[in-house]
Amino acid sequence: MSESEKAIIKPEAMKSFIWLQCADGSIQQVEEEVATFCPMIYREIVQTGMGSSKNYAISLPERVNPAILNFIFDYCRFHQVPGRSNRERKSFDEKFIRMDTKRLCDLTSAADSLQLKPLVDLTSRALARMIEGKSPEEIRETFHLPDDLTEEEKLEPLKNVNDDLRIRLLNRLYAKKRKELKERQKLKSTEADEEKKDERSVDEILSFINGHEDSKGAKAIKNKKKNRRKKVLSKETSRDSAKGQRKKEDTISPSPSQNLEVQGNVEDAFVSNVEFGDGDIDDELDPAVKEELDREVEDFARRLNSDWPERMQEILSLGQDRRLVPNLANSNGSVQKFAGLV
Amino acid sequence: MDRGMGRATVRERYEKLGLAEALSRAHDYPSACHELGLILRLAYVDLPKNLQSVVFQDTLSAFRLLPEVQTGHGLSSANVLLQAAEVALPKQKKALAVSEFKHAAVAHKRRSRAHHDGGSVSLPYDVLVHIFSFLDLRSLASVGLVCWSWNSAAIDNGLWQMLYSNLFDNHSTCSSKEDHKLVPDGKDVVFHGGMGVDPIININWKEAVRRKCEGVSSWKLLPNRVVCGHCQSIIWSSGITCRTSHECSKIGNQKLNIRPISPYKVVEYLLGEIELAEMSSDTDDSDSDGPSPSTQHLPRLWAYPKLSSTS
Repeated sequence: MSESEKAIIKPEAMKSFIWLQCADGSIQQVEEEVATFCPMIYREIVQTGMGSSKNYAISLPERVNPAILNFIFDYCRFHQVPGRSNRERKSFDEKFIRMDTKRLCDLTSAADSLQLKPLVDLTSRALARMIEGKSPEEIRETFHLPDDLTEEEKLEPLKNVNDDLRIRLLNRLYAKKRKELKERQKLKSTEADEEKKDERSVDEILSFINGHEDSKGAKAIKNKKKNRRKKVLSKETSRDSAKGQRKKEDTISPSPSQNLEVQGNVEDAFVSNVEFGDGDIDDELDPAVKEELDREVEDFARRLNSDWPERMQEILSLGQDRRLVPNLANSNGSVQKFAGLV
Repeated sequence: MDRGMGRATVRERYEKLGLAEALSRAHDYPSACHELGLILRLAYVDLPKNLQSVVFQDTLSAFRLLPEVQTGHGLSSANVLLQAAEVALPKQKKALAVSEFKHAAVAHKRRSRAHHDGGSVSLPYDVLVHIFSFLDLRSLASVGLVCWSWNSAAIDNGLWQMLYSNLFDNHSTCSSKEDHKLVPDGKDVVFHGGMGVDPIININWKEAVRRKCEGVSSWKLLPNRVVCGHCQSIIWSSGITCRTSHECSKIGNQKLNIRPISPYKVVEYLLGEIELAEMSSDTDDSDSDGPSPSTQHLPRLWAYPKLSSTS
């Protein structure tokens, strides 16, 4: 450790440096033995002879940004020293991966593009440990992923590679609206009232849409009104199942009031986390892109409405076949997984 | 009545269950809590005094570890355990357990609030597949439900092939091209005819796993525990991932024999009422689970099962 410290202080020492350039143009230099720990960089040096000076810097794959590069070099710098024991390496690794999820993911993909297999394995295992045991909703929260699978896709394995951006966006919208309605319901049902009629839910949706979608323009509102009926139907099923869930939850924890509190609080925390997560998704799209996408969504919705009756039939019949097991509360998310597997 | 006067005592069997270690793994925490709860309800009174205190200590440590487990499933399992403790433990221990739980619940809530990272991540396909290769059956099924990109990585055929060979059949999945015996079911197979060459057989391994699970209802319940028929040991099903198989000392050249086992059977095993070798066929498990066949599903639906008959 002291040797490499000396090298940093006295650059004119025997160590040679390799120059690297990131995709954003910034150029960095690093000790040769640290850089050659990465197979990809090593190969570049050997095959093309680049990296010896600033003008001939080795250009790194685009998944690597300068901040992540420093992490990678910390890792390389530690591990390329041959005289370390396994226990030292292990404890370094354990401390090393203590970082937030996003950075861990960036690190994994950067290490993968540099073909640094030990680091890829280390970070992948850490991520796998984070994923295990979580329900899909919790995973989405942790990694800030959009909920863009349709109900039928969740029940059936995907056969076609059908990545239509509009379908993804529409599903995201549906999922968000569904979630927001569910949250409202949860707030209202703590007073334990009966099931509401259809008209009220439609009004809710209308006022909600009108209240929030003013900025997006009249066309978008009209577009969503057309899809209102479809949404009501899907919300219907999710609302009913949510009501069913709550009844079961209530019977499970009858007497100890602290349990109810804890569960209620957990749900609240859940809800607030979910809301925060949703906000992120919207902020990603800047307004110009948003309008473009709105127009596309509207086109798609128009297409959808033309063959809407048949598609609804399809979805409903699928829904009836597959919903053999009741949809359960996310506290026992195993049934969701079961539904996914079957 | 001679309980546990056989080769293994209750104490040894309890230690083999490995509940204390499982509680420290976030993935197995809920399963371990459920098992512990069942043990409290069904077996606690029959245990010798020193084992009772061990079970009690494990219950306390389960509550102490709750703040580390930031999943809804974890919190609800701890609730289940609390209810079991309230039913089964004597007064003083019950009071200790309840207070421990209260502290843990507060800490859990506090930690769940303080959890906000930056924006979204987008991992490439290969990286996702690599990450998923460390997952077990249940996790792999649930990551497919997260979002579109994760779904397309989760249905990668290679992953399911590895899982199939670790769970069901470790022989025939090796040589995939020549051996025709390995075709599990004609429906899963997709034939590619190609330019006068022999047809290449592509197996949809995810379908193969699904078919295996559908055939036997006890696999369908996504069990927490499985039994290895060769070495007669109870292992966590989370221990069998795409990459790691059960390392059985007694398997030799035989086919894998891994069967699911319900939590009730685990408690019966603990009390010495059954021998693992006796559980010969899968149908036995599904028929004699719990008080009655219809309540077989109850452990999954309800926080605690309705016990119609107690011993």
